[in-house]
Amino acid sequence: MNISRKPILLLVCCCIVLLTGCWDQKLLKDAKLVMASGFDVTKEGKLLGTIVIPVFSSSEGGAKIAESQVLSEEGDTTMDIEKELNLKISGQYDASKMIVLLFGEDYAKQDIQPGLDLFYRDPRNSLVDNAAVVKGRANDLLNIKLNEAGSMSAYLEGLFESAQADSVIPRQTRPMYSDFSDPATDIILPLIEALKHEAKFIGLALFNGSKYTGKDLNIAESTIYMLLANELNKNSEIKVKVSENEVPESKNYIYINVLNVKRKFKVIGQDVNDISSHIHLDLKIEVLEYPDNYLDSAQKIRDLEKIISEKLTAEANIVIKKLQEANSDSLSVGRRLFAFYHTTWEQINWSETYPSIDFDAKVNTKIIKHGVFD
Amino acid sequence: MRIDNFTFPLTSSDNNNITQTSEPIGTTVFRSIADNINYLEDFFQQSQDLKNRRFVFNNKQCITFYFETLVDQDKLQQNFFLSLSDFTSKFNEANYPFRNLPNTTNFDEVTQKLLEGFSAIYIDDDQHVFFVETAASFVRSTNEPSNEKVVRGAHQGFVENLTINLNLLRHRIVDRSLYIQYITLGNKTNTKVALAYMKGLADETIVETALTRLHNISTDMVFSTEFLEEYIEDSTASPFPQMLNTERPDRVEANLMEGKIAIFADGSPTVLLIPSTFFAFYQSPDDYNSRVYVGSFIRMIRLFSFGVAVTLPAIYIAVIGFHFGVMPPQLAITVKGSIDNIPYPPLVEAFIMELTIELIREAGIRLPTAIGTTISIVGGLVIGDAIVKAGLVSNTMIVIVAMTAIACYVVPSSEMSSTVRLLRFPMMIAAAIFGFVGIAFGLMVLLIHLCKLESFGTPYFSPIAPFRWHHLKDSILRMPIWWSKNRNINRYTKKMKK
Amino acid sequence: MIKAENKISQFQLFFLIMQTQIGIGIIYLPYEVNKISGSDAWISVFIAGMFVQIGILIIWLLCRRYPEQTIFEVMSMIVGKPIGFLLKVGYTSYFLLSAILITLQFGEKVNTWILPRTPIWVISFLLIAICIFCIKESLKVIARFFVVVSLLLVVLLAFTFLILRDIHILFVQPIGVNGVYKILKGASQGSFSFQGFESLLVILPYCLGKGVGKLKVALSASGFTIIFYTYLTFITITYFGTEALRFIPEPVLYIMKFKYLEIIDRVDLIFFSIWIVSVATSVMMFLYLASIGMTHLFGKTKRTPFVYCLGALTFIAVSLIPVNGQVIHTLGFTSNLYSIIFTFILPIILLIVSVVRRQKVQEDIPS
Repeated sequence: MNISRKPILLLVCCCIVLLTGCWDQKLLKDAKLVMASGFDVTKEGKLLGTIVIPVFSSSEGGAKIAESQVLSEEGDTTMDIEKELNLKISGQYDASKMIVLLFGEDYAKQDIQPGLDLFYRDPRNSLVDNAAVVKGRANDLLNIKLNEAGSMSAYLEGLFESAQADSVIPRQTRPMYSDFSDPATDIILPLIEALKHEAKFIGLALFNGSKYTGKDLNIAESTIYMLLANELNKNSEIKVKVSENEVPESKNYIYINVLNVKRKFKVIGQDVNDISSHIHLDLKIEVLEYPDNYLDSAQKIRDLEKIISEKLTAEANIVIKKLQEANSDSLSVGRRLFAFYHTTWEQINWSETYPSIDFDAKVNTKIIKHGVFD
Repeated sequence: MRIDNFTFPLTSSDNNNITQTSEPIGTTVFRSIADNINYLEDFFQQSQDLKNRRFVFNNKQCITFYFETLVDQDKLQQNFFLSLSDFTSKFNEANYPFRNLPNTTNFDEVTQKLLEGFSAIYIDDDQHVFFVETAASFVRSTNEPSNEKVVRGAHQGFVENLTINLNLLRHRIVDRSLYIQYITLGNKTNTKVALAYMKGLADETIVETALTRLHNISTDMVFSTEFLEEYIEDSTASPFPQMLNTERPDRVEANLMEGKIAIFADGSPTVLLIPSTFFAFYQSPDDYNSRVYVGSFIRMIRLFSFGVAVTLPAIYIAVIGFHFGVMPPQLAITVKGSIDNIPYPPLVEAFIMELTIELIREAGIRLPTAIGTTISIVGGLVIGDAIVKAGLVSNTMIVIVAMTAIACYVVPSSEMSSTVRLLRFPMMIAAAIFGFVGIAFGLMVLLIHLCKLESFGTPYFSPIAPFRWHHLKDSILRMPIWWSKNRNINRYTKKMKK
Repeated sequence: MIKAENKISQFQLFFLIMQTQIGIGIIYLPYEVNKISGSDAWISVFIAGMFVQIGILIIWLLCRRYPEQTIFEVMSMIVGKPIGFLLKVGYTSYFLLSAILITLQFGEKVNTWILPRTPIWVISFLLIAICIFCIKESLKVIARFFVVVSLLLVVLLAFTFLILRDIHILFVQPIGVNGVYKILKGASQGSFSFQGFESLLVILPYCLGKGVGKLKVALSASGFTIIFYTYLTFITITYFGTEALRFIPEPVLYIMKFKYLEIIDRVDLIFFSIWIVSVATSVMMFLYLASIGMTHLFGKTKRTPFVYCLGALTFIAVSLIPVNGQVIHTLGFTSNLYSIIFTFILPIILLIVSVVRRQKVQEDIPS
């Protein structure tokens, strides 16, 4: 580089630095990190938003979250609420670290898509990967006085993570939006309930499109559903009643853990009037607890496998029935029909057809481990 | 005394290569001793350390001239007068004592030799001046250089004396292809500079370039090789050092064997190695003295440290000033907790801390070891702790700055280390204005600069740019030595089997 | 004649072409093509790539006849001075227009994604400044830089591997549901993202090596781009589904925004920063080509003044054109039209004329 050109270059650099300032600077210290929020609908039909901001006390050993600040505000749209809330908090409302989003039962029944628009439109906002429907009001849940230390958002996040690891609730792998826009798939969201000092997952909320149907799966069914959806995470513990009338009662049950799932998902639909679907599950399981007896003979294990398979098949069919009753195609039968029998798909209205198709499941189990005890 | 046609050699610049000129220029030696005395004393402007000593030999008036500050009196006594006294008794033409001594009739050479520490002997009525080597040299021992310590390997270092340095090198490379060329530079200092390279290995065009550039230097003094560096490097505007400098003979040896050229200068223990690539600065003899895995691992750590040192503060500034979405929620909370009460923007915070570290470093260097330690304790611990408690700088910033500082000092070459320290400041500013976009642009500028920089016609960023796969194994990794069958610095050096 | 020490190796040619092609398209190509050909967009992209391969073949056939001359020298030889002059102006302005368009789009994307309040002209200034800084050097230096930054593509690819387990192949089935017409229409739209291979017209004579070797390198470089783009389109469609993709103009970034690693939450910001480099390389190449064109146009030997001049032109153009979707769309359409003329039609015409006139410059230097 030419030496004589250097001063000019330097000058230009200085000018840029000094004159421009930092247009987009948004300092972390000025931001109020909203880490959880919930939507409800009020009696007047307005939107009630509740947000959780962790409050920390900085001490010698770094920052510690002491508690959380819970605020709520009414408004017409999400942005409306954000604007109102921004007037209440010291610092800038910032939803980029939002980790949990809750929908009140009534709100979810209306439609959850409008409330999400802000999250999808603003490039700064996070695309919330933990969403759930609250049995009752989201506001109540977020206002629970927790027994354990820490903020509400961290608590809820932990709750989600452990439930996902247990394969009780599905892990969100893509923004909910892509499911809303897809006519051949429905979403399914976890259902959570507020207790006195904690919150608890109680199952899965079934959606039709972006509307909550009001129908749920309980926890046991959720576990089966997760297997049907081939979404086994770290483990999946299932209780099966293998016998009747044993005394004490606990001898009737076996607890299994699913180690591996092989799913065969078939949809047949050459004929518009005769669409059928069948899921075949091959499970490799491990016996976690079997209070009744010893598993010392191969015959006994085979018998047990058979009973478990039957029971699980029955439960799986109940889950499928419930899904069909709720008209919630979260297993993406429609997607398969779309892909493999496209002409059929084009002739039907899927949301009308789905509840009446012939849809069943069959579960086969194989015990491959039973701990260190026969 | 014909003072009118006496040209003052010190002012004419074309007389600086006296040792090399075959044609005698300037005044010839006078026949009479008195004239000679006058001439010399005038020439050296009556400098009081120019001494002479008269004596009679073979019935002739003789005189020796010498600088008492340059000459070892004992040596003069031993080498000259003692042997002379032997001759006085049994003198004949055959063993005329001066016969084997170097001599000249040219005054320029006389004055030159005198300045080099020789004693000059005049015999009355003889135009020849004879020289006796009597230079006193005070050299320190060839200890390991403190700024280039290695764990394993030779613990020897160059000193300020050129002859000793070349001696160390000759001892290491016992081969006739080691070629040494002397140049005298500096109009006033007349410093001896030596160019050493392996004939047949080094690229002749690079040697030519180096020689031309050295000859083109017009300066009064050459006080160190680093001083020379600025005159002959390709781009002075570049922040990167383009010549590797070292005080270790083993490093010079290894580099010469790769076809590089070493430049020595009298009075400086540092040797310049040309051409150098970026990655040469990240290599240490230690790598080859340790096991292959260890050597490769350490090299990668060093290169990683380059990245950390240049970008880490900038990334931190960009993250907390622009894109805190990048941090996972837990981390975001921790960081937020620590910076919540800092009154100024991250750039200012970072500058305060970076400058503090630089201050501590600069203060520590010049002080005696005992105080230096105190300073580093005061600086490191006390300031670090107090500054956080006072709420001036956040905890996380201290962590970042400390990591950066450590990463800077990982570089084996102190020159590169300073470069790296400097580079992060523009990076930080770019990050504070444009966030990640600024960092991306900053790194691009850096990369483009590295790509176009050349050191004596050799691409500086080789073997990454231009990309040479086979050379990667000895620049980024340290593969077994027998793996690389060809010498590998670049395509500009001749390929030869090792 | 181009001096041997200024020539680039075939290895470098590969990266020059690839880096020029891969650029702005990374983040919006799937969206553009999906809008037209729906779930078969990935087939469209692949077919578009095949068109481009044919284009490369034509350019190579043309350049093979004049192994030591760039297109700017060749044109006057083939069609005579006056028409040649017009063509030179045409090509130079085409390259300049491409650079301007990419800069505009880049400014718009940066503005929407990370720096909403920073004026767009500042962003474009940065981009243009860095391009000038790079292209005032010789092609050799540019090639070195392109090779180095290609390492970043590996990082980009690695990021996309994150989502491989969440894609649903069912989204692209049934294959071909949108019909041949839509697929081809999508392909014609997609082919503009492969713009950059026409740089061969100028840089082919700078490359060392035999003719066939160069062709292989050019085809494989473009082949890599085809695979890369097809892969990107495929994963974005299978991730979002074609319906959702219609509303997401920067699907790759959107995916990255949703995904998180253990240590990095918003991968899209990192992805974006790396993508900037890819865009810069494209702009650099087009500006470089334009600067060569200008040098020939004015019959000068020194290129540097033209580089500054072109940089200034681009900057003025970018700051004057209001950046919004409509303008970019219109400009994009114009550029696409140009692109067809200058990358397909003109080389074919030149080739035919050259063959008819039986012009051929023998390759006198065996390399």
